[in-house]
Amino acid sequence: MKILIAEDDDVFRLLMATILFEAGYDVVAEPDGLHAWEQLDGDGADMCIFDVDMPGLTGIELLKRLRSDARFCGLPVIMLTVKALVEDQLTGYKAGADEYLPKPIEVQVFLARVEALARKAGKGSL
Amino acid sequence: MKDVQVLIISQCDEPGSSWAAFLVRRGWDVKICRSGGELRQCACGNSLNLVLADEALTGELPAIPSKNRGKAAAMILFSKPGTLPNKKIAEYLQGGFDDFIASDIDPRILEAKLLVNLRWALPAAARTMEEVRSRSGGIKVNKSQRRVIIKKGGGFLEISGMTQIEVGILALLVAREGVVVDRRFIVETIWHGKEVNFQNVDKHIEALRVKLACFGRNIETVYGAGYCYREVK
Repeated sequence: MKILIAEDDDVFRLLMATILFEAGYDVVAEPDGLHAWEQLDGDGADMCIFDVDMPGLTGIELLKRLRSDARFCGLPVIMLTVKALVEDQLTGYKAGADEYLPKPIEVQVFLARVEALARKAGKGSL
Repeated sequence: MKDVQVLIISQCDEPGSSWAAFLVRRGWDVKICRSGGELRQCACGNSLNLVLADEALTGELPAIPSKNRGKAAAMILFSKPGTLPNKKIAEYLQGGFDDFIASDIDPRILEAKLLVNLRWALPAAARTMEEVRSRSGGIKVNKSQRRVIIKKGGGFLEISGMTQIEVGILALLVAREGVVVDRRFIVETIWHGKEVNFQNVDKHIEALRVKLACFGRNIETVYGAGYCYREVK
């Protein structure tokens, strides 16, 4: 199962990619929303994990773009962010997020949530 | 929505009662069960069930294999914040629960999570929850997309420039077509317990009437009570 990460923080991006890779997922990590969109448009993915605040195209803008594209409107998406106010979360869910998780993450629970979402989306665990 | 039922299983009154009050106001069909037996009774109808289960009662729940769980579209576990170690939460999620939430979750986030789970289980039902339409089909209000579409001259016209509050109020009235909705109910549902003057509601209703043009007259003022959406022939 291929997971696309869009995260502008280099350290966090590497950390996320490592955690997911070690859990057995194929991982592609991009530093911003525009690169993530190009990656998705070209090669697709089975699940996406987006940071909310990114240069160029924010995570929410990217998510809205996905949801308005017939190819990706059913793609499971997790938003991962430090913006964890109720209003921020509602904005994420209204834009079409399947999960809206605050940073920092707890690795065990995060991986279990990824697995649960993959199961819901009918993509199996790995 | 009558084909989808939210079942809350908990032996405590809270947070189940508060969640139920909020969700019913938003148009959900909600039942609170006190035991696994009661849950099984409630779940045997024709509705698709979204189950919110208190972690303290997981021993009473039926087995929840991720496949073949019958009419349970989603099983969401909750517990008091900070009472469950992360390892245990991860085990529950890996064991088949779709989500874990803390009992102090904002009810709006809870509803958003229910919609996400419903979208995966039954996309058509999730769309119905997000969209309200009048009996004649003359007006459609999509809450999440903030879209209002009216039937006009054999075609459809999208009303632009609607605010989130206006769309929320309109959806509330259209969903209760023919019923008087009082201002307090509007304030509680739209502003979620914030202190809001009733005159504020009146101002939004006035703005709505202007934006809806000929459909605006369908929002009747019922003096001393509130507002009612009724389509004028």
